[in-house]
Amino acid sequence: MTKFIQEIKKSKSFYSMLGLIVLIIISSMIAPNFRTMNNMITILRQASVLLILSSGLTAVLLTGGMDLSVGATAGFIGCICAQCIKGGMPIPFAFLVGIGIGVLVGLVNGTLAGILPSFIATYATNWVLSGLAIIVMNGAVIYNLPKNFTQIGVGYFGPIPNLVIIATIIVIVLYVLLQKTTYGRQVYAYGSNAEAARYSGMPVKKIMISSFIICSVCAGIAGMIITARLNAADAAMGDSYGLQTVAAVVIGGTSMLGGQGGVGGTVIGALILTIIVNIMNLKGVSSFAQPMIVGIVIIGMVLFDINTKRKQEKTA
Amino acid sequence: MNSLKSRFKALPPVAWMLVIIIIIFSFNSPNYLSFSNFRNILIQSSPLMILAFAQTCIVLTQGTDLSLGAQVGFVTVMTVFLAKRGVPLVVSMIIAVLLTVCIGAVNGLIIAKGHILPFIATFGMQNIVFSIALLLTSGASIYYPSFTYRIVTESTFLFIPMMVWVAVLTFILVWFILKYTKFGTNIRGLGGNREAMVLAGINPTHSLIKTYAFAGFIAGIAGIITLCRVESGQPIVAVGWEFQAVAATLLGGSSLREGKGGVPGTIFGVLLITVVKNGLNIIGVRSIFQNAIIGSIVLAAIIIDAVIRIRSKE
Amino acid sequence: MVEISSINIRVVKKVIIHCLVCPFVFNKKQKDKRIRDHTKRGGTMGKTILTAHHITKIFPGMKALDDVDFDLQAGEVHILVGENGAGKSTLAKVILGAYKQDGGEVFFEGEKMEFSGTKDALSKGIVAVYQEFTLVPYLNVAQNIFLNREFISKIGIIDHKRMETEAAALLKSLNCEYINVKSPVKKLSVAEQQMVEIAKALSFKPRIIIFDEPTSALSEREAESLFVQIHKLKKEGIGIVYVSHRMEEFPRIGDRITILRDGKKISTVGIHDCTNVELVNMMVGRDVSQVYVRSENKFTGEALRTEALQDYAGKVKGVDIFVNRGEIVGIAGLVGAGRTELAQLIFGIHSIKSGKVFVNAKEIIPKSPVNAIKNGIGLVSEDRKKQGLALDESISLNIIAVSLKKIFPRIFINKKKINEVALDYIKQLHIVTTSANKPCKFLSGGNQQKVVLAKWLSFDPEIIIFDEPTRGIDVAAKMEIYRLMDRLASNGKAIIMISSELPEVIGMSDRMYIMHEGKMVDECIRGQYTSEQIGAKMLGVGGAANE
Repeated sequence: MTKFIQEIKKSKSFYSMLGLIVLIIISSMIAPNFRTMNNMITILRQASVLLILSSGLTAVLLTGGMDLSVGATAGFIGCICAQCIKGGMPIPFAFLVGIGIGVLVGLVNGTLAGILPSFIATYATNWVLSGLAIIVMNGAVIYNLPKNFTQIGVGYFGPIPNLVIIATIIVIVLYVLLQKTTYGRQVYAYGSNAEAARYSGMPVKKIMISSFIICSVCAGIAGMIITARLNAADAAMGDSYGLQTVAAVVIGGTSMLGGQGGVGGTVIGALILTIIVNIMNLKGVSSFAQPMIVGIVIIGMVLFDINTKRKQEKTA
Repeated sequence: MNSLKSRFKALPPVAWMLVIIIIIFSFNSPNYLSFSNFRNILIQSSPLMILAFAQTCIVLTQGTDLSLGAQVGFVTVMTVFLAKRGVPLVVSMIIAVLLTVCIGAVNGLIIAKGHILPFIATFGMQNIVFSIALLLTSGASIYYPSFTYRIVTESTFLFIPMMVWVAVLTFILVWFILKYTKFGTNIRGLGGNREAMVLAGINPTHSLIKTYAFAGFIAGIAGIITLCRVESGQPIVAVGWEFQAVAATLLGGSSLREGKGGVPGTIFGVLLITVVKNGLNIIGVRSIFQNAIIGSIVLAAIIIDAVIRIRSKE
Repeated sequence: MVEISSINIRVVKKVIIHCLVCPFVFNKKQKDKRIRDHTKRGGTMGKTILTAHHITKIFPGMKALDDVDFDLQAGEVHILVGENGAGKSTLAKVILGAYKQDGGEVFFEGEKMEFSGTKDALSKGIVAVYQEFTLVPYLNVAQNIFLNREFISKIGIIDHKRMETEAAALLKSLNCEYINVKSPVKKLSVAEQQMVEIAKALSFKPRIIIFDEPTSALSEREAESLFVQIHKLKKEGIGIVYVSHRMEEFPRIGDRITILRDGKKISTVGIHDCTNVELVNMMVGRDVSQVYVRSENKFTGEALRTEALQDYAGKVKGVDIFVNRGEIVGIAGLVGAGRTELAQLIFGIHSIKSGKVFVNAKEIIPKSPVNAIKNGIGLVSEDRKKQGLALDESISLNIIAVSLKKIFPRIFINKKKINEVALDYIKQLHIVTTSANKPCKFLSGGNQQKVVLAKWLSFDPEIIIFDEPTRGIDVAAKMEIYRLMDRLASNGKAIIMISSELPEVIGMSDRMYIMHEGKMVDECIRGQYTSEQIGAKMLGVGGAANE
C-alpha cells in the first residue's frame, strides 16, 4: 500500500491533482452553490477555451520554449474567420482558413524561435498580431453571425455543451499525440536535452517548429470558438487569454525548461484556474483582485512543485 | 583615428538601424529633423529609458523582470492614492518608491530562495502588483492635481528638459554602480558564473535580492516621472513596458546568457523604439494601426540584430 | 635565454615520447639523466608542510576514501594519481576544506586543521586551481582575480587602476605579461584563462596549491608553459599537489607520486622509483596485458571512406581514411588535432566544406545526424552528459532514443515494449541500476556510458564511431566496453575509435591513423610502429625518435 502511495507521489501530476482536490473542497465549503450541476457545467464551459489554448501551449513548453502570442493569435484568427463568414464563405472553408493561418503563425513563431529567445520572439509576434487584428477589423466589431456557426459555441449535444465536447476532443487528441506517439516521445526528448536529441538523430528543427504550429493552430481553433460563443468578433477578444494560458500550463506542472509535464497536468491547471475565477465570481470578489489571486496561485504552485521535486531528488 | 574607428565598430547594430530609420522618417516630413522634434523624442523616451536601465540590470543576471511595468503603474496609483488622503505629494512619492523597492526585494527572495525561474516569479508578481493597483483605483484613473508635476515636465536646466536630466542621472547612477561598486560587479557575476561567486565567498541570495530591489527602485523613479507626465494614477499606463525594456536591452548588445552587456547600449534600443513611435505619429498613422507597425519594426530590429550576431560568430 | 629553452624542449620531447605508452621500461641511461635533472632543479626545501593521517570519507552508498595517508613537502610537486573514482579529487577537497572527513586528521605546518569550508583553508594559504574554471566571463582579468576582494579607494569606489596594476604584476611573475588585464576573460584562450586562474591562486599568497587535472583542456604547447610555471612555483617553496591521470606528464614535473585505487592508498613512490608499467598496474589493480583483448577478424569489404574531407572551421584540413567491416580503426592524436571534428563531419553535425564521404562505396552527403544514421553511421560522442544522454530522462527512454522508429514503426508507442527492450540491454551490458526507470543522472560514469552504448546497439548501425569511449570511467567498466567493441567488430561492424589514451588506441586497433593539426600524418597497422614512433608523429615530429 505504501509503495502504491509512493508511486503516485512520484507521478508528475500528483501535486497539481492534490491542489485541485483541495481547491474543490474549499470552494464547496465557502460557496453553497458551487457544487450544483449548473455551476459544474458553467465551469466546464468556461474552461473549454482555456483547455484548448493551454493544451496547445503545453507542446511548446515541453520543448523548452514559450509562446506569448496565443492570445493575439486567437483574436486575430477569430476575426479573420468572422470576416470570411460575413463575406459569404461557407463555414467549413472559413474554418479551414483559420487553421491555415494558425499553421502560418506557428511556422513564423517556430522559425523565429530558432534565432531569438522564444519569449521575446513570441511577445513581438503577439504585438504584431494584435495590431493586425485591429487593422483587419478596421477598428469595428462584427455581430450577428449565422446560427450554424454560433451553434458551435452555444449549442448543446444532449446535456453537454458543444464547447465542452470540442475541448475534450482536442485535449484527448493532444494527450495521445504527446504521450503515446513517437512524435510525442521526440518532443519530450528534445525538451529534456536538445543537443542529445540531435545526436540521436531526431529531426530537431521539425520538432521545435511543429510544436509552435500545434500551439498556434489550437489558438486559432480557440479564437474561432470564442467568436462562435460570443456571436461577435472584435480585435481584442483574445488578449486576456494570453497570460491565463501560460498560467494554466505552469500551474499544471509542466516545466518551462522542457521535457517534463504534459497535457494531463495542464488540464488540471486549467481547471484550477477556471475554478478560482468561478469561485471568485460566486463570492462576488472584485474582478480586479483576480490577477492577484492568479499570481499567488502560480507562484505558490510552482514553489511547491519545484521544491518537492528537489527534496525527492536529494533522497533518491 | 584608429580608436575612433574601433569605437564605431563597437557600436551595436541597433545604432545603425536607428540612423537609418531617422533618415527614412526625415524624407517623409519636413518637420522631422528639427530641434524641437528631437527634444520631444528625448522627453518621450525618458520613462521607458529609465525602466530599461532597471531591466538591463536584471538581464545581466540572466533573468527578466516582468513586473516592472506593473510597478510603474503602481507608483502612479499609490502616489495619487496617498496624496488624495492628505499625505504630502513628495512624501507620497517617496513612500511609493520605497514600496517598489520592497516589491523588488520580494521578487529576489522568491527567485533566490524558491529556486523559481525569474520569468515565472516576476510574472506572478506582475499580476499581484497590477491587481493591487486596480483595487486601489477600482479600475479607473485617479487624479490629484498639482503644480509639482509641471516642475518635472516643463522646466529645463541648461536647455535640457528636467525629464531628460532624470534619465541622464539615472543612467549615470546605474552605469556607475555597475562599474565602480562591488554590488555592480556581483550583478555581472550572478549572470556570468554563479559558482565562481560562491567560491569567492559572495552570497548569491543576498546579491540577487539586492539586485531586484535596486531594479524596483529604478522602476519607482520611472513611475514618478510617468506620474508627472500623465498627471494621474493609472494602473495600465506602463503595460508592456517591461518587454519593450527587454527588447531595448537586447538590442543594445546585452545578452541573456552570460552577464554580457550594459546600459550604454540600452540607450540606443530605447531610442529606436521611441523614434519609431514618434515618427509614426508625425506621419499621421492612425493610432490603432500604430501598434502593429511598431511591433513589426521592433521585431524586425531584433531579428536583424540576432542574425548579425550569429553571422559574426561564424 | 632562448638557447636554454630549446634544449629543454628537445629533452622534453624525448622524455614524453619515451614515456607515452605502456608497456615499456625506463632504460638506465634515462634513469641517470632523470636523477641528474631532478637535482638540477634546485634544492627542494624538504620540509613537510602538510600531513594527512588515516583520512576516511564516506558518501551515501560508497567509501570515497579509506584510511588514506598523505604528506606534502615544501617545494615539491606531489602527484596524486588514480583512475576515475579512485578518490583523488575527494582527497584534494578534504585538504581544501571543501569536504569534512569522516575519519583521520590533517596537519598543516604542525597544527591540526579543523576546516569548516574553503575559506578557512584559503586563509591558511591552501588554494586550488580547478578543472572547470571559476571565472566570470564578462568581467575582466583584474576583476576576476580580485573577485570579492576588490581594492576600494578612499572615496569608497572600486579602484580599477590599482587592481589592474596588481593583476599585471601577478601575470608578470608568471611570464604572462602579454595577457591584457583589461580584457574580458571570455576573450582569452583556454590556456590564458588557466593562467588567470593561477594568478588568482597566487594572489592569495599560498603555501599549497592543488591542481586538479589542469592539462585536460590544454594543448601540448600550452601544457608545456604550464609546467614551466609550476617549476617556478616550486622554487619559491610552494607545495604543489597535482591531481592527474596523464602519466606522460609525470616525469616532466613530479617529485613523488601517490597512487590511489578504490579509495585506498596503494603506494607513495619517488618519480624515478618505478616504471610506468608498475604504475599502471598499481592504478588498475591487475595485469594490464589482460585489458585489451582482441580477436582475429576477417575484414569483409570497405564500409566507410572519406576523401579530402574539410570543414569550415579549419579543424579538418583534408582527411582520407577508410574502415573495413570487421575492423577497428583507431585515430590517435593530441587534443585539438581535429579528431572529434572529423567524427562530427562524418556524422553530419557540421557541414562539409569540401571532400566526399562514401558508405559501402556509394557517396553520401551527411547533412545532419538524421542523414548519417539513415546511412548506417552511429556516433558515441565525446561528451556523454551533454550530447549522449538526456540526463533527466530514464534509462529506458534514453536507450530507445535512436531506434524509436524502428521499434515502433506505426507511430504509437507503449511503455511495456520500451521497458522490455531496455531491460534486455541492461542485462546484456551489466548496467548497474535498481530500475530501468531511474533517471540517467543518478548513474555512475561507466553506467551512463553503457546506456549510450545500449542506445546505439539498439539501433544497430553498420558503422560506429567511438569518441573517447572510456573517458571518466572506472577500470571494470572500461574492460567491458573493450570487450563489447571487440564483439561488435567480430560481428562485422566497422568501428572507428578516437582516443587520447594511447594505451587503449594501440591496444584495441587493428589499424591506426595518427592525426596532427587537421591532417592524417600517418597510418600504421597493429604492431607496425613502436610507441615512441607513434608518439613522435602525434607531436608532428616526423620519423623515428632520435637518440
